[in-house]
Amino acid sequence: MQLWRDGRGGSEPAWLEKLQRTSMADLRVDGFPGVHDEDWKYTASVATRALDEHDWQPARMLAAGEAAGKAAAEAAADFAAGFARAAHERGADLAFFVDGRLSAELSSSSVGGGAGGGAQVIGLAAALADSPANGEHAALLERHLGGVADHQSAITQLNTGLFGDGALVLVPDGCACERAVELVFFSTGNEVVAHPRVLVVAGAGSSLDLTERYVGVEAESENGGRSRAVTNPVTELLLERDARMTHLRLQDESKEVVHLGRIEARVQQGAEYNSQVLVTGGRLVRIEIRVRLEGRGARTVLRGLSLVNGRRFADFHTLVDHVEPGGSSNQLYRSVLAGNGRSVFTGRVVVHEGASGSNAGQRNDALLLSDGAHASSRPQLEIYNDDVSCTHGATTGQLDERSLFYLRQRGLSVDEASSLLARAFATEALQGVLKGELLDELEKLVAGRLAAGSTGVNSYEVSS
Amino acid sequence: MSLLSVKDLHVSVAGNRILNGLELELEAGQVHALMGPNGSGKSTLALLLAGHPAYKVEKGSVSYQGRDLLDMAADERAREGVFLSFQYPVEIPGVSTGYFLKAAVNAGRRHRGEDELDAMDFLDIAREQLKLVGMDEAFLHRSLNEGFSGGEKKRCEIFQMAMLEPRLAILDETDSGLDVDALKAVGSGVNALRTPERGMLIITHYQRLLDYIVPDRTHVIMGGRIVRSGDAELAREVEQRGYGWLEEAAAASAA
Ligand SMILES: Nc1ncnc2c1ncn2[C@@H]1O[C@H](COP(=O)(O)OP(=O)(O)OP(=O)(O)O)[C@@H](O)[C@H]1O
Ligand SMILES: [Mg+2]
Repeated sequence: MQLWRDGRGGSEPAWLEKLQRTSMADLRVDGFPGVHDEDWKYTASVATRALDEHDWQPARMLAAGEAAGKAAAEAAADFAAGFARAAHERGADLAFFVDGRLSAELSSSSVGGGAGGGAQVIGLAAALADSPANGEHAALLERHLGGVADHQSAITQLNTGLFGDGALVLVPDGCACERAVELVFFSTGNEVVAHPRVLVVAGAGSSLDLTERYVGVEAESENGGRSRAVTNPVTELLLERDARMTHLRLQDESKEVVHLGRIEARVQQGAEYNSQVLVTGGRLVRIEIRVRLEGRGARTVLRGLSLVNGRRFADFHTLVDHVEPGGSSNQLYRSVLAGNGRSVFTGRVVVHEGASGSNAGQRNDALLLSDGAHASSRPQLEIYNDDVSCTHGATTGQLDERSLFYLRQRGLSVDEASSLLARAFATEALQGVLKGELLDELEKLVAGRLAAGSTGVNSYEVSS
Repeated sequence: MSLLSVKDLHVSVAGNRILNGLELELEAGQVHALMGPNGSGKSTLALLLAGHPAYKVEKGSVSYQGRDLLDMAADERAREGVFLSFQYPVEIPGVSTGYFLKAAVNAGRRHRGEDELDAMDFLDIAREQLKLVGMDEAFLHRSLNEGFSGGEKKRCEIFQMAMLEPRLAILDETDSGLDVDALKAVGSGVNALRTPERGMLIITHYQRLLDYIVPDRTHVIMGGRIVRSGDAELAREVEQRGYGWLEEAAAASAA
């Protein structure tokens, strides 16, 4: 394989060069996972093919006026305007990225500026380039960038080796951030591979609402089955003592995008990390989530939902480590499948020897709306302490016939009744993390995608 | 022309013959009571008329408003005015009662070429009807039947019936498990719908609901057939004497 590093230009700190070089060396030695790797058996072939198709080449900056880039840039501008408006109404700080690169003009003016009493959002490329002048950020980045992530993960290795830009979010100790932070990653689908990297350091006792949205416009022309783009984002979250974070990752890119993403959170004593992932786009989406409850009484609530139609594929991979006593984790992942959609859930919970009094719950359900759809579930519990309470369950099923009949008896068509039941099933996996307008927004998005006779996702149509 | 005409109906479920040559005529404007021992086929008839896919017609015919009812899908029957108050209403988590019912009401209105109700109009009407069955508006926001008490489920069925204004209403033991107030509420819900163009089939084990809704006819079903029909008096007789005497009479007539 040929590897291109997404150079930022200018001089770089030595630690960064070493980090990126080591990571690429790891990837070269280990090789990108293949179908024989149990953890990658469903995703490896499509992922490597997509990366090969693009020579693993990272995003280039869209040159203004470049013929192909211009329409995409306009689309990005339209999108950004919409998001910016909404973010403004919500009172959020918005950082907008195009194919992995921060766009200053599409972002809130606060991005890159001072903290202003809330969280500070800085473009990663800028923070790194700045480093000689900005000792504080440099030290922080050197200490934490790559310090949360697990370097065994191929997704992380790829990103660490090749990232060019992303965001650094700093939450001061004790900051009850009223303004949410929104990171929007817009994919033009313009034959690019993007490796955005995000590092969030949430100070002791702080609280933050963080949203990451991966979005794009649907390509107009068919592309002979080639994936238009690969997105490979890695987000590292460090929650210091008693910090609280609510985190949404929305993946709604065009259905030709291959998305290989990872979220890593280290949760210190008394801190609480709550995560919602929603996958509504992409051709192949694999999202790995690893949460390390490394302080006494650390807590996490994890929710994930994927809507998978056509020939699309979604793979959730979670790993929760209970390291210290009294931690709790609660996972619910669901998928709604139609057409020839496929979903995989692999959920590993490790309760380490010292983690007495831990409480871990994991659930995974799949709803199959068609005969061609398929779901697999692999729960893995490793418990090295007797004084724990762990539950897990997994179901795969179709719509409940009795409910369907009840709704039809009241006059709803098979289509309407199925849609209503599918939405009810899906919506449950959106409860427990988000609230208010953001929750409403996601519920509406899901309702729209699962609407009866919806033309946008016509393969959700259900046969009677 | 009868509203509902059932002729020589033989029905099986899971390979077992349950209805054996059932005959029933229900005129518009009439209320009929249907009584019979446990397992005699009352719910089978009700679910078959509603179009449940598990019930298979082996023989016979059912016409509704002059059309072949058996030729219509369950949801089409509903939109054409057939309503079943279920003996065991299904709990459907995550589907709000109000949202669902508005969709159901509008499905019927679309079918009849009427304008759909918007949220405000729907709410106005729903409030009225909730009052009729003694339910709180909060039920509209709850998941359909989920966690409802037995009586609340039955009231909710009648509330839905009142909202949907069916032509043919089949009430399958809607009176079972109701307290006295609920029984009155169900009675007044039914009587409010008692108009010359509607018909109702009330399946019950007890006379007490029939004190509020006096039926025009009473039928007794045993072994999947109507073995005796009469007026409101027959229901009282059944309550006093049970079914044994009818069994003997039926056996005698069959012999
Ligand atoms: N889906 C089914 N599968 C198998 N048997 C069934 C099914 N539905 C009904 N039956 C059987 O058919 C017979 C008639 O049942 P049905 O529910 O119609 O009785 P019923 O008259 O309504 O009784 P009850 O007064 O107890 O409600 C019973 O023996 C019942 O077990
Ligand atoms: Mg019954």
